Amino acid sequence: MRLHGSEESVRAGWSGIYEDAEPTDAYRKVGFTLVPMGLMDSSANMVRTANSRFAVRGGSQTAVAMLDESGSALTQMLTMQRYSQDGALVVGYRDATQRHTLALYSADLATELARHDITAWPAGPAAVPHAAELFEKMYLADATRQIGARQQLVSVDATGTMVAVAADLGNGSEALKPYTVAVYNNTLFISGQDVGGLSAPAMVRHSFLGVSPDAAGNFDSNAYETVGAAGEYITAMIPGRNVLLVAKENELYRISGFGRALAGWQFVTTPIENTDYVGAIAPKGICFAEGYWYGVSGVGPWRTDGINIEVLVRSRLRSWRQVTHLERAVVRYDPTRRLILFGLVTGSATAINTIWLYDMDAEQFISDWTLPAPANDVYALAQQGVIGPAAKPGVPTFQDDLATLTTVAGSVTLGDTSAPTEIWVDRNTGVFVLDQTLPLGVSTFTIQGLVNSTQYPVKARAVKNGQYTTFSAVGKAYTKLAPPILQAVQTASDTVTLTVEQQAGADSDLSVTRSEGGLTLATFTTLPAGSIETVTDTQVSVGNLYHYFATTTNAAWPAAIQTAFVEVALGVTTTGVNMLPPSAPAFVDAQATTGSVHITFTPSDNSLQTEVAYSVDGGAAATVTLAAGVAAADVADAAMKGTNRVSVRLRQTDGTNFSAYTEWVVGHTVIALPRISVPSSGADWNVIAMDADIEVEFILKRGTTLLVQTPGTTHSSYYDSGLTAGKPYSYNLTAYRADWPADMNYSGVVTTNTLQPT
Amino acid sequence: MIPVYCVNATDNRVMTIDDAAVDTDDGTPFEASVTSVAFEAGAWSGFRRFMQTVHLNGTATVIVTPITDDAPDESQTLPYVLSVSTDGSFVRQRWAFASHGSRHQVLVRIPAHSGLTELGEWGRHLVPRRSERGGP
Repeated sequence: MRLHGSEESVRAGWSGIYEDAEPTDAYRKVGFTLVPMGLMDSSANMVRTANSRFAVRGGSQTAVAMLDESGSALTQMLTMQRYSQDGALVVGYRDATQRHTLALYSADLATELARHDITAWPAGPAAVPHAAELFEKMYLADATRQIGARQQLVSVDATGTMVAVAADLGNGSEALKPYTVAVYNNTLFISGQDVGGLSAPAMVRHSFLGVSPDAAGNFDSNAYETVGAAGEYITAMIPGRNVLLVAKENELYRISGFGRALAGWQFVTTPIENTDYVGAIAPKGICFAEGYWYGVSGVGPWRTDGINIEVLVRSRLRSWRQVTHLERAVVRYDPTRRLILFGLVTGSATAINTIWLYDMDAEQFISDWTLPAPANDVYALAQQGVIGPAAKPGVPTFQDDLATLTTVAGSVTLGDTSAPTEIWVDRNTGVFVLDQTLPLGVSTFTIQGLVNSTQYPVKARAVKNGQYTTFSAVGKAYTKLAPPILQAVQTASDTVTLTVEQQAGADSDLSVTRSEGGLTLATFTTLPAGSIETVTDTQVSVGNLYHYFATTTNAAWPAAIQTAFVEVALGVTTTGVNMLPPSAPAFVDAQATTGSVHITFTPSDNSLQTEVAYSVDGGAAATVTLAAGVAAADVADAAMKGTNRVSVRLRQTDGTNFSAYTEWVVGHTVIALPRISVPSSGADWNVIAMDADIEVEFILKRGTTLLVQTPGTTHSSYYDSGLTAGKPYSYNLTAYRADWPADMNYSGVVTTNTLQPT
Repeated sequence: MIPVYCVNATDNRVMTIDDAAVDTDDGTPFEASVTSVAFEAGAWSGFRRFMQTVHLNGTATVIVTPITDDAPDESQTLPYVLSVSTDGSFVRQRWAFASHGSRHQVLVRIPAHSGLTELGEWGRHLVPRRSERGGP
């Protein structure tokens, strides 16, 4: 039975994990802690967002597939670490050769900067590498417990050059094989080795201040100290808060002070009291972040500010029982998500398969991530936040048919669609100058302000977060060739003299041709710009119109813009007057009538008269002369009665001389009204007769009802039956020509009315 | 967001994780889930409704299973395929249950999704009953 007034409805967001907590409502307290609403018993593959929602984490994909120096795929990856000089250092291992390979990558792992097998490390089992950076070099150590199987300390510079580090620890130079390595106050700290290559798990040594740890004089033989009990390994050393935190399996110590360029141990060592059995099992089991060291050891995850210890496992006691292989656990800091990543081995796995996320702001575990594959390390690489473009753009290419005399249109294959792309142009000064920056995702561009007939080198690069790619290869852009200047003058009744001036570049060819007769009048090779040549055409006849072309050609130019030409037309007259025909006549259909057509044209010279030659329906041509300056006229003739085709051509005249004619152009008069009559009728029928002078289609309607549309004819009739005696009827007739211009292929409507007899 | 890299122990790859560019783990969908801590109405009660706000810009399959007295009741598991709401911001989805017991939990699973998928506020409706197992 329902208890009235007792139902609940609570809303909250999801917060941290507190496994096996007592119910949140009736029993709000877990121990002495008030458990907030929204607490989770468990969570997988989520991450807390800045607005306190829980987001499904992003997916996984391959960032790098690493090979050894000979190109064979490695079989396991061992560690990854930030390296300020390049971005990231990655170490892998190949089972078949039992050799280790080291690679340096850009921070986003997109670019492999160096890759070498670690030749200083002889074939053997996979190492437990970890590294520290000092003086722009990484120092790579192997945290293998047995010193006999431990690999030698190796330094790596930004080019991947490695140096096997040796030092005189009191008995001559010997290979350094530290168990752990760390950098604190510009000195390199190593642990686990005594003079003569003996294992000394609790011994710490530091390098000589100001001396590169891989150079001569790197370590003073007396600069050592034993921390805690001699037989217990120093398992991790992590700097922070101006101290070097030194961890053993169940103890923590602080090393503080500043190195001096003096012989002997230069620092102070103090234990952290009441460590609650926290410590580290392996060097990557501790990290420092935002004032705290976070670690994992047998008692679970913990953190310390260097004085107080706080064990973090209490909310995860159920899951902690599933964690195994603590020697493989890693603790990493993710500064952007503000998380500590506890990489753990759980269940029957033998490599890291789970990450516990500890939210540094909420101070809670918030979710576990299941890894896509077993891992030896996890790492959040902070430099990724300011990475540059992923790849440089491709070589710029150009759409030549879009080039103009002053612009070119190009495109570039983007190397990184999330990065703007810069377009640089060498405007033939020998110096590339930034021309424009393409926005994100834009790959096309137009370069303006160029000179015709010119080739321009163009290159591109991407920019992102203030970082640039290298430039692309150089592409070549071409502006259009400038056409020559051509003038044609009739210098005799049978001679035209042409003057041509080259405008394009010095390496362009030039030819002068005439379309009539397909004549090539002259060709000039590699004619420099500004060159003026004279060409004579003596194969002309009076009364003809000739079209001359001057064409520039540059074989080095792209095919689409390899030539440029100019055209000049010249009419040859008897006296050598250079008279050109007018433009071809254009018919204005709206102004046509049944007895005329209306033309417009452009005289070649307003001082000249225009002779109009016309022919109606193919009949004999007639002419009419228009006054000078007239550019429009009605052309009328008695032969035009409607529905006529009128051919018209024009030429200019000064009264004595004539230009050449234009081509014939056909216009149309308006379709003439058809004729309609009712020659006979009865009480309920009519015969309608339809006539026209020219073949048309008759469109006969009674009122608005279509009765018939005939094929083309000059006479037709229609028997309209079913009418009502004594009733009036109205018949409408239209003539139609499908071959007339669309705006004038109907005649007007002619109407006749009847009154049926009774 | 910077990528978290996984340094693989069984092949030659370094992989990203929590990579916003992909919705799967190397092509395989992965499941995200949340299990609430137990809640109760102080006695024997009916768990009638559960509401979860889901903010998303793609699609997501959201499955909710009621857990009563530590036992998941798979018979009442209800999946919904959610997609971007008309206002483009969030979907408030309700699940109706008929579970009865002293302690209730919900398991919210998202076995597949595309794009950003976030869980926001949630709510539940318990109907207290006369005690059949004793009150608090």
